[in-house]
Amino acid sequence: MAEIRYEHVSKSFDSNTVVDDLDLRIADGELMVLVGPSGCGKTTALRMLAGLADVSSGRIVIDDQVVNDLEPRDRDVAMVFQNYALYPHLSVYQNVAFGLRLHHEPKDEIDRRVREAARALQLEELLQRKPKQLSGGQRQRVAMGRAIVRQPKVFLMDEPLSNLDAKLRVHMRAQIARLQRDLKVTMLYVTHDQVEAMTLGHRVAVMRLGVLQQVAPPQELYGRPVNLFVASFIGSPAMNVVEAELHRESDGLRARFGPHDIRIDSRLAASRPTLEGYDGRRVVLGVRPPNIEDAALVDPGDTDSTIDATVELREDLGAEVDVHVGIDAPVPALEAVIEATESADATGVAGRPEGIFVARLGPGTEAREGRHVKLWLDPRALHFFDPDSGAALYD
Amino acid sequence: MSGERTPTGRKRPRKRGRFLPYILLSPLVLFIGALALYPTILTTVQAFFTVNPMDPPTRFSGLANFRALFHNSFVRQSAANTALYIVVGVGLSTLFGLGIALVLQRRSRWRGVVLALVVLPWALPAVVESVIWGWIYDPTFGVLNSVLKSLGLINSDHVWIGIGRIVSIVLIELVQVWQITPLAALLILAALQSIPQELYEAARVDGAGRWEMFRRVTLPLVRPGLAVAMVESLILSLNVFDQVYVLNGFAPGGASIMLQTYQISFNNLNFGQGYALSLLATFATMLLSLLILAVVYRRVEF
Amino acid sequence: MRGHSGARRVSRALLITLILVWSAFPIYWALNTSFTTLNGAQSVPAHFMPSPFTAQNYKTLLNSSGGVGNQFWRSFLNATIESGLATVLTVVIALFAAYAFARLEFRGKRIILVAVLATLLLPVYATLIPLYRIMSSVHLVNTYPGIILVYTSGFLPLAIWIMYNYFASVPRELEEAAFVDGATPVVALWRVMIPVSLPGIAATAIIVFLMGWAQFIFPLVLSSDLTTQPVTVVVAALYGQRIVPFTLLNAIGVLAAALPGVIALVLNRYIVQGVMAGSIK
Repeated sequence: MAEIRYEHVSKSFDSNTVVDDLDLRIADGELMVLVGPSGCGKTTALRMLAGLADVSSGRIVIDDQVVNDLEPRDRDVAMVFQNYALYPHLSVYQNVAFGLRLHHEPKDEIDRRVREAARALQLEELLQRKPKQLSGGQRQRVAMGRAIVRQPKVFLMDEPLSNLDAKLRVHMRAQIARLQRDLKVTMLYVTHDQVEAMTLGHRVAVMRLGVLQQVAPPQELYGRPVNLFVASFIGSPAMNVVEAELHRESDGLRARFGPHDIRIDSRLAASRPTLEGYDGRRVVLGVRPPNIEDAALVDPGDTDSTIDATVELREDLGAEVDVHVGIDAPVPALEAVIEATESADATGVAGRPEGIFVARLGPGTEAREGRHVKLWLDPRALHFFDPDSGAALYD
Repeated sequence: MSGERTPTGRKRPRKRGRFLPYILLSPLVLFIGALALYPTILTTVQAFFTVNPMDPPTRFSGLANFRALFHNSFVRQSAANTALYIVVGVGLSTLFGLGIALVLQRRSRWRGVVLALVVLPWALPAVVESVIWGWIYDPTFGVLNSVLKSLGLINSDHVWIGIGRIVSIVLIELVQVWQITPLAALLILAALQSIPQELYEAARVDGAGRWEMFRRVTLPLVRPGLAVAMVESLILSLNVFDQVYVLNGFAPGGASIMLQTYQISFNNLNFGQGYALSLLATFATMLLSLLILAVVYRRVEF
Repeated sequence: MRGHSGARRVSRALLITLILVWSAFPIYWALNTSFTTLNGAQSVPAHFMPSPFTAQNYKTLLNSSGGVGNQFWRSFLNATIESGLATVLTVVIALFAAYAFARLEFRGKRIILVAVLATLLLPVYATLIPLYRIMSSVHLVNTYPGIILVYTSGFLPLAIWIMYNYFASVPRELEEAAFVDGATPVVALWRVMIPVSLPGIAATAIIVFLMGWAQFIFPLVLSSDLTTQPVTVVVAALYGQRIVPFTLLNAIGVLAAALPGVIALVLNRYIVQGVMAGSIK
């Protein structure tokens, strides 16, 4: 039974606030992912929970016990470090057994648990080797073994997969998820990779510049982001955003940007009552790449939601085609968006150039670089944000 | 540590175990306090006192010791001698050290062996080295004369140590150079190795030849290492004692400051003057060190 | 810097040979002189290989009934004990201190560290006379403890400097992992820091031992007879008295150089690492 609570936790260095009034509750047995760009405070938050960093103000509570003043060794937590931190002078067996020996567990108990963990992580063959003889993936598993074997209340993971190559990362991700499920242990997992966050977390907490943006299950983060930062950070390729003007016509609310004018689904508009207040004003309009289709491949009846654009770049991904088009309209230069897309865009494009939309189309599309294409923007999948605060507009 | 991340919360909570650092440090503080700092203070203070078992009691005497030293021709001579020791010592050890470091910079099969032999002179006691070199310098049977004669450079046996003042000093210092060059070489080598390879490659792409690369990349960037090596050599050559004692005894023609201090303190038992001379020498060391650092050292960051 | 051309290879080989000759010649010459008779050594022009070859000098020395032999071996023992024990003491104290400086935060840390390192710059002078008088007043002159204490105080700053650099280069995450696993700072020091830093500790020990073995002026002042006189003092005395024939003297020199020499050749790697790690100023 280990519930974790961050209660108004802050951490500053001199005049620099690294974590700002963090309030977060992690349920017993939950896998919570803390995600955000570099410098957002996620690692500091993790380290405060581990006891490796002081808390400037607020309380950290594990299992109804305030742990602020407890040394790491008294908190019953285990941690997997980004660079694994394996003891180079000890064998794999001794590395894994280290914590147990410090707690003076009986020898046969230690042996049993070490071998059990080794079996679970396929380390049996490697028990006598030294860390420098192991590959990156093997080292990572040893680091995990060292943590598992202690059967702690809380599992902490500091970007454990970021030093592995892509394929291994995917494999280990699944293993970690399975492990957490089997052990039913409370886990706090820190990463800067939003794909990892989305696939692993029961719930995901997005942080930016020390401030918690949103905590929700992955689907909710994706579908109902609470602000522009979260909307741009989560999802890959990143959400397309553009400054648009809302205007009400006889058939409903429409959005106008550049030379384009599209309709907003009436049921969507109805469920977003605040939008009424923006009639005749600017908003930030967002639409995710998968919600844009090649108009030629979609029911042609709905011309109200199509835009005409020139294809700048076509990337064939196999099952899908990513098409970059110029839409001739200003992209909001909000810091939040730039920072989010720079650090989170899995397509590797740093920032989104002015006036470019990315659409994820089906493989049958005939869009060609340099030519025009008609794109259909799903009117039911539009997102709206206040152009000054970046807050999402719902109710 | 990690380049991307800002140093986040690396400070550990300092709750219990607050006394641990002090426990760990107490032996050190005891030793340094009692056997390094206290003696230094003693030296500084007692330089202004007459401290002489032949002339009790110990009493304040202001600058008397210093005046006596300045008027002592032996002391003045040993100061001049030491100046030459320093010039030869720092100059040659730095030059040779730089040369050795440059040669050893590249990895090769032989580097391990060469390094081992290069370091050897530094590991041996200076006294033993002086005895060995003394034999090489021997007028009648030494190999130096033997080789020079067979090369036709000299006609008869030269007496190397004890006759000509400058020659004596240079050759005595050569023994010390033999010992301290490895240290200089290692210090300079460390500095050389910290210069990123990319800088050389960029220079090469820009069209620099080997000499250019040396002048424009190596020399400027090795300055911190050079400065440290020079200061080390300065301290060692200013302190030169063992080699002088063994090869030349207390003869004024080659006496160093350290030798003079020893003689004044332990042969003449004039401790007060010994303290005064020590103090002067300490100041000289600091001044010259700062001078070298000011001139040669340059902060280098990559 | 790619010296692949023939001319460069040759000049490089030449330079290396020059360096080797410069470093090894005096020792080779001492060996040469020691393995021959007085006549052989005195021959003019000098022989480059011992002729006639004889190991008599060494036999004389190894035969401990001879006067000179006795003196030499007693001083050898003294040097080894004094330097060895001073090394142990220095390394232990320096280890704890360096760990405190490298890893712990506490008030006055900066001052103490600066003070300790400043003593590195203190020349011998500053402490020689007072130390003699201090030891004299506590009746520790000409005793092992007296000399060992003086050595230790002299070597501590350098030892701390080298070990501090080593400790500082160990990733903090290693100890953090130990803390999370249940270690106290002391346990972390003992079970993680020290084992991981063994090369640095070894380097420090070797360098300090060599420095101790080479000490001259301090034992000259602090030892009055063979009870505690180390090799350096005895060898200097024998040379100065000019009673011992130089062939025997060179043999003594060779034997005196043997211990530090072998250490330097075999454990060279540690010395080099230690000095270079300590040069990060």
